[in-house]
Amino acid sequence: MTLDNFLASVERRAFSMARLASRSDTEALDIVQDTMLKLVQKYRHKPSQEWPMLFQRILQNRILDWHRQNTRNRRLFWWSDTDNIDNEDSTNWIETAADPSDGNPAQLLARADDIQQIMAAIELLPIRQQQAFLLRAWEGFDVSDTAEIMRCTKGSVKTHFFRAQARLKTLLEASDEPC
Amino acid sequence: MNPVNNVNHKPRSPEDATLITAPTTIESDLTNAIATTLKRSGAHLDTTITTQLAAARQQALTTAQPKPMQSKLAIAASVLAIAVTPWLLSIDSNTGSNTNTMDNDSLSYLSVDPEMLDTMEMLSVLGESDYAL
Repeated sequence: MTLDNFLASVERRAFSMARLASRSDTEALDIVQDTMLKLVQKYRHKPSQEWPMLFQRILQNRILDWHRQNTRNRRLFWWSDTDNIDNEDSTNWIETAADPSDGNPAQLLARADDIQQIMAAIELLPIRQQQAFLLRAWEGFDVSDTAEIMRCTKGSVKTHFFRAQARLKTLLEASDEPC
Repeated sequence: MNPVNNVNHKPRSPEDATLITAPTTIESDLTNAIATTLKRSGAHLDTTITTQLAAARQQALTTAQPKPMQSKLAIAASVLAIAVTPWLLSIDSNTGSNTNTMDNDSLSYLSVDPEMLDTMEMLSVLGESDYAL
């Protein structure tokens, strides 16, 4: 596989991930382009089997950098805005965790088929939960690889992923409630 | 089909099994359904964005292309500079000392009065000099 083919195969998903995190097409495009450039410059001679991991690591770091910078910038103008990666766990996820008894599973799964609702729900996840969920569920990386990409422990990946699942369930259930 | 389990080509670790089975069934099903939806949607991007992505990819590939001739020339020039500089310096210092010697010689030569040499020659011709034959 050539590097061109590899990049062509991952660029759309990478763009979608970056857009989910940044909520901006332009920013997402910049992030993906930077990621491609760095991969080509530094890792083009690595075996092609290593490219997916390396690409994702660069991409997720770049997304995280963008998120941190964006948070800093927002704080300059709005002091009460405390949305960052450090306090994402302040969300009382126990309250928002899914209760197996509530909701209609069939409706929930039907809603999971709607890409707009899915994207909107994932967009609301804290950045680390978003990364863990997308890497595991979309890219299909296992826990070890996800931990390596996110530069955290396997336990953190599991926690982020579990919370993301619970939060998504809650969000999708809530999206069905009448206004 | 279980996308969460099937998408990766790599062998699953025990942690993955725990991860998949730990949440309730509805959450696992929901995750799988979301994963399927996400994969399906991956191909549906605006034509404009797709074009921009392709352009970005090409730019990344061309910008990051190593320039073998330039890099080789730069290395060769560096090696040459490192090798030649001491030699040039030594030649320069040798040349400098030779020049000084010549300067001294020329100065000593100039210190003899040419007129006096002419006078001595004339005296020797007349037989008045001690050195006359």
